[in-house]
Amino acid sequence: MGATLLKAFERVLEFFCTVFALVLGALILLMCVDIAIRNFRIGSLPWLIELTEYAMYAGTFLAAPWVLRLGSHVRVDALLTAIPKKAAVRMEQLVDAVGFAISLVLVYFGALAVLDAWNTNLVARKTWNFDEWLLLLPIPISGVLLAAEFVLRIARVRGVVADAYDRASRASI
Amino acid sequence: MDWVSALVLMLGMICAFMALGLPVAFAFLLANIVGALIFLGGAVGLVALVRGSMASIGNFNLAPIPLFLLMGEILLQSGVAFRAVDAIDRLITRVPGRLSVVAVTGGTVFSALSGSTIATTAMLGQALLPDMLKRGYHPTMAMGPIMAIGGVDMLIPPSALTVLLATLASGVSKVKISVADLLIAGILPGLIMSACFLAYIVLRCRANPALAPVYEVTRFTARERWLPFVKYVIPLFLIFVVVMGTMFAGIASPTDAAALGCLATVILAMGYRSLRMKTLVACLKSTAVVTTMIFFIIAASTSFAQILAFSGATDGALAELGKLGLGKYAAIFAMIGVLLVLGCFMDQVSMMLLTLPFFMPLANALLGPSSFDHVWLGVILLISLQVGLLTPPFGLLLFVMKGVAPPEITLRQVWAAATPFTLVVLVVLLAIVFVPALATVLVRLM
Repeated sequence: MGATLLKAFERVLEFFCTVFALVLGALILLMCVDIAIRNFRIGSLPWLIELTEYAMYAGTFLAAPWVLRLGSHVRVDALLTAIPKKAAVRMEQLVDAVGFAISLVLVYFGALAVLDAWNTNLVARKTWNFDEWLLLLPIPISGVLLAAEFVLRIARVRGVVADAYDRASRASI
Repeated sequence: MDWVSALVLMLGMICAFMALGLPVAFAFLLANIVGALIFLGGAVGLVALVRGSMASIGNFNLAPIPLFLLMGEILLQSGVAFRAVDAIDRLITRVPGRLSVVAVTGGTVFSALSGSTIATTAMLGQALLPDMLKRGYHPTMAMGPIMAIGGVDMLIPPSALTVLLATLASGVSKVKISVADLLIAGILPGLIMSACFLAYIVLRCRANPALAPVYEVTRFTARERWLPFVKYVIPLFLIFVVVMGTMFAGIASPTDAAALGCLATVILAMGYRSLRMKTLVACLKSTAVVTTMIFFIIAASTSFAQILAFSGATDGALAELGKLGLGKYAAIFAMIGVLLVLGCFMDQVSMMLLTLPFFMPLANALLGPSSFDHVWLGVILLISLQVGLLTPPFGLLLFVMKGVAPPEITLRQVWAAATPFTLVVLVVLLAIVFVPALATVLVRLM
């Protein structure tokens, strides 16, 4: 049961990242279409800028928990790798507990922002008119998933500390 | 709270939790949460912080970053980059330190196509390092050029970090730095740096041939030597022309140019029958991971500059600096010094986010309204950030190299290999500080 839930949780995290990846691909195609039709004076896709902005923001927040799961968020682990493993495990647990608390703040104040936008019927007016609560929703969702992942990191702390030594395979610019 | 306490609290909290190993984005979030509670009116400030994070990465100017990263991923994962290095390998024959020269030349070509520093280093490390070590190259001559040329990737467009620097700097500066201008400004310093690396390799290997033993290179006919170059390298230049040419001619924005570059890269890789749908999806996923990593730090640090300004820390620190009566060059050397020290401990994105709220207002005061001077400063900051990639203990390229090097190579050897090339980078940096035209001449031609 626990293992099935964990697997399902992992799939949800990866799903969001995969969707972000595919949306990036679709945006590139749309950008090329936009350049072509602009230059042939057939028209343009004036909503593309707005769509790109929303996709980058929502994609980032929703994929962030998967990136945390991969251990790919940038961190300075010079101290972590220099101290004995037992101490590193304790430090990692402390750090993950802080991360958990920060994620809860993100959930609470993200949800407040969503509720506020819902109650006041705020609308983001650009090319499209978007209900703002919908735009803000990825933040508390991301917060919930991040909080859960930080709890899981505390639970599997020994594996997490071992991962910290593998800097060469970490994602970066 | 006085500005000194505010400054110590904000910077101290970020540095302390980063040192403990909290991911950088969360260290920024923590400092901003505490800062918002103290300086932005508590709960109201925290809701504003959440809303601000949406605006910070919902910014079209940042769009070239994932696109440039994707270009590098496609070239790397499809194997096209490796074929290009092989083609260059066949062309270069009778020079001292031949394989090191191939690494620098191949790296320069790949830099002009890849937005990812780490991709360049990893690709060259895998392609050339085993052969170099097998042929008795000294680790300095084997690993040094590969790491150093990875750093050049930050300067030669397309470069994701250049886009990031221009966007973040413009966000905290009265004088905006155009993304296109900074991308174009990086070309000449990048090429000069590559040329200096080549000169260093040739001179060192000529003086001490034991560093790179001469060996019998497989003999190819002229056709066998040039055909791979025509087939695998020249088409890559066309991608560079698509990206930079359209931008240079002013007919495409950086995002448009990056999208066209991605399309050209996909078409090219498909033309070589090297890109299957599965590989393309894998490239997109890698790009999404790196993009998320960068953008999440930006989102997390959104309110950092505002909180610093609101608490009086920015004005206070700048007023103190003003009292020192620093001239333009003294201020620039101070900035370089700060980045070189931070570079030993932090990644490039964090360094930008921590320092730009102070550097840019200072630059505005000292450099005046000239956008060219700000582009010049942008190039100087980029090179200073690049040095951080090569300095221990956190220099990322050192660890990338350790990751692809044979197990018997120690981290100490990797550091030692990077050192002479780091010094070459510093010499080029000095040249650009004292001859600003090196950074601005191409921008002025636009």
